[in-house]
Amino acid sequence: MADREGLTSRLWGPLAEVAADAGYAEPPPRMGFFTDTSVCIGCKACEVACKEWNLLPEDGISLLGSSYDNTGALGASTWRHVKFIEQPVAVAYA
Amino acid sequence: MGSNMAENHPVAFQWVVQAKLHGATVIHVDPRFTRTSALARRHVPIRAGSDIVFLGALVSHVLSGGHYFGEYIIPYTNAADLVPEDFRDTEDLGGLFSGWDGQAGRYDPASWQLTGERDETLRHRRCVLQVLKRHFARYTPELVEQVCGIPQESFAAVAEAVTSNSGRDRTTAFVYSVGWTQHTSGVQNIRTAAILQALLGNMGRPSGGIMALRGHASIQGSTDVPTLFDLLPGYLPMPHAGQDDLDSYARAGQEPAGFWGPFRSYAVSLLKAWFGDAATAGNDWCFGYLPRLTGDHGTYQTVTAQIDGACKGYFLVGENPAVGSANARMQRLGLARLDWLVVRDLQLIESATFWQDAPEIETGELSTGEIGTEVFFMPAAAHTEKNGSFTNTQRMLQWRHQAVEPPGDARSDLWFYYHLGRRIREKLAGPAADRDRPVLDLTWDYPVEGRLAEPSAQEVLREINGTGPEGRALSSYTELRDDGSTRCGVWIYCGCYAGEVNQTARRKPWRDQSWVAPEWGWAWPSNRRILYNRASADPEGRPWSQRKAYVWWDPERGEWTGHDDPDVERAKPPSYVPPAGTAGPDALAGTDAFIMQRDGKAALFVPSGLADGPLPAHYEPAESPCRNPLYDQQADPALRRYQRPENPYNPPESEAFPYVFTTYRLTEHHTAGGMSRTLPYLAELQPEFFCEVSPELARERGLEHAGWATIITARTAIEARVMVTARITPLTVQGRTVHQVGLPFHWGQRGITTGDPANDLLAVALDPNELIQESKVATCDIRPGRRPRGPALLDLVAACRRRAGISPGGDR
Repeated sequence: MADREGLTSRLWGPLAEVAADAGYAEPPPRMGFFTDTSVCIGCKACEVACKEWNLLPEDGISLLGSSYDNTGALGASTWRHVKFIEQPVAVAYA
Repeated sequence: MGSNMAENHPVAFQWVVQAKLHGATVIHVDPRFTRTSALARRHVPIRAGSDIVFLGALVSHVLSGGHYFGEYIIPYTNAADLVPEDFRDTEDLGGLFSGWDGQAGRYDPASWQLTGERDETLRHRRCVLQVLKRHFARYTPELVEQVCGIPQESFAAVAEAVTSNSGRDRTTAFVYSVGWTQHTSGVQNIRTAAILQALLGNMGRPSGGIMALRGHASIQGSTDVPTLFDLLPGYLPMPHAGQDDLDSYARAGQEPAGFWGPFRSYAVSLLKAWFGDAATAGNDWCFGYLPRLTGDHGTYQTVTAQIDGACKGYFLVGENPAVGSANARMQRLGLARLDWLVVRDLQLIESATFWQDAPEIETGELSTGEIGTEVFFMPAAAHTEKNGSFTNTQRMLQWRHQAVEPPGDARSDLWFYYHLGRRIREKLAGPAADRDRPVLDLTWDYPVEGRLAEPSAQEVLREINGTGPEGRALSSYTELRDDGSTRCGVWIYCGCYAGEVNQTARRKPWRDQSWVAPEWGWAWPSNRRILYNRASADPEGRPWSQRKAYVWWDPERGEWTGHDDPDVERAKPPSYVPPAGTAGPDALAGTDAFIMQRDGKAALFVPSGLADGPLPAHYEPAESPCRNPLYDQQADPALRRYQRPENPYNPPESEAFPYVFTTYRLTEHHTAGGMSRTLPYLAELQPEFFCEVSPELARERGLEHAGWATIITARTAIEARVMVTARITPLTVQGRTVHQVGLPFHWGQRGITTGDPANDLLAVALDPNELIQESKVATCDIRPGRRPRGPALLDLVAACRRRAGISPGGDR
């Protein structure tokens, strides 16, 4: 769905009133996640909280072989995704 | 060290992250690079089971470099005490201390007793500091490199970080979890850290100490109010056979000086709490009602008794040993020999369904039709469905309020035991046999409330707190008496209901109180947030520095004061010297900061109480691919083994089992999985049992990422999906490469996500002090592909045992 500026997607808000646009009269204010990646450990409790709050179903029980990420990608039943990217870091002894 | 705090204690880890934002240096020493390492300044990969070498080398560095806190260790530790002439160190006896009885397989600690003489110049060759220096002299950075597989530069960086951050102005903290405890050297791992922290003056001071992170909610509570076979509430020992009366029991437990002096008051108050008016001076306060120990009645000993047919009934409460205990197969064999089994859990766990789906049914070792165990499954209420308290890792009790009623037949543990006791007592009513008196004389009068007749958890807390002669709640353990006038269920918890108020339910926001936050929950003892905090002040009672001021002596008011409750009698001046003939707390001087010790001093050298030596020494794990380069003694001489056909051990340095493995948890799952594998949202996050291996090991063994591997020990073989990751580092140990395999232990045959239990691979080898199993290190083989099915699995394991030279009886 296009927002008021005619864009189909954007990386920063405010986002279009999708609930109102879909016919939800007087929708409650939209909520978002604030993520501070400097303190995040990647526990994915936010993914679980999102699913619980929005009553989304489990989305597949399969090992992806992608570090500790078995969510894989966003989708109809997965609205939040924490990725794991393993990368080598130089160790300095000083 | 020995902790993956971010994953297993994510809520507490937020404070580590906050400390980091305030400038703290976080170092993670662990076999694997985990989500904790990712947030640490430095990750130091270590070979599992070599912690004493690493910590011992830090001790050696502190001693040889003069980095210890001299003004702290002379008054506050036993550094100046002399060991007797006949004490011999592991350095003298090839890895044994004096007193070893090879026949009995245990130590006689007579030659470890300190003489009572002191040399405060610390120069006497028999003073503890000099003994320590000689004992740890060979624990060098070179040895760390050789044994732990840690490069010398990496060790030097850690040593510099620790020593430069300790002293008057700064303190360093150690955090550990079961990565230290679950070893045959578990107690000595922690002992080594205790020596280091005492030498650096980091005990009893803010941001110092050694933080023991417990395994899950209220495990601290379950040692304080114990579920352990050898303890009564508040760390009173369980009586032994032969302790026929309270006098003989109290004589054994009482110390001449310090706060174990009033032992009898704690014990009598406990008996009065349990047996009420029935306990009188005339009947020895019902002391005869208590069961007596005749030996090891620990969980692993109990399982061997089940297999041998001696133990016929079993309660499992919030525990899933068919998945979660070392050598889980042995646990299942034990369960299958019982007459009856009661399982109380949230879900039908593997320990309740072993009779139909244990892996041994598939291999033909067990058959459902031949298992006689009658299993009673009792659904349990979850923590949101009942009132009660959690005692967390820092000894803090926090009250929980019930949010909803438990569903269906689910009941709280409190409900279950109260009503079970009530019904048993009803059955015993009438003319009582002597053997029934202990049950009938129990105080069992808790008020019940609500539709389910739920006993009042708050009334239980009040009984734990204790009451005085007028039936009013007590405020401190110092009020307890041995004349029967006080009742107290757990002496260290006395004060949690002071003033008839549930102190554990306090939730004053941090911004409305001091930075110590004494009005959030309640910490034992006496709401003290840091134990032994007398040591935060110098011998004269002045803070070591303004930056680290915590409690101090106020000479004008003539009392101790500060940010926390002082861990010393308020009116005892620093200059106090005990007059001859005093006992208990009065026999400790004003400078004796470690008030639970009979000499009031932190024990660098432990004269009694340890089964495997007064000082830590490095022994290889029960199963290791390496030879002990320090001593002829390969493994801890006192470690406990069960030589049985179902518990064979991999021989040390075995070519059949060349790799090290370690077991652990993931943040997405809970221990043996009963609370997480059954939930779709958690199951999808970690959907399968996997093993973590380095790219180098994968190449060596032909393991394919996301493929399958079979992991084999003398006990069994299991299969796991393969996770090849550079987070696992091969280590160079004694000139050769040692590979470590990581195995999360959450899986079993039930739930939404299923898999082989990693604990099936482990043998039962126990620390001799606490009887904890060595589940953090053992040896294995690993091969590509899935394991055989059915009886073919047994053939594979038998072939590996033959290759390793293990006889069918379990010994070599």
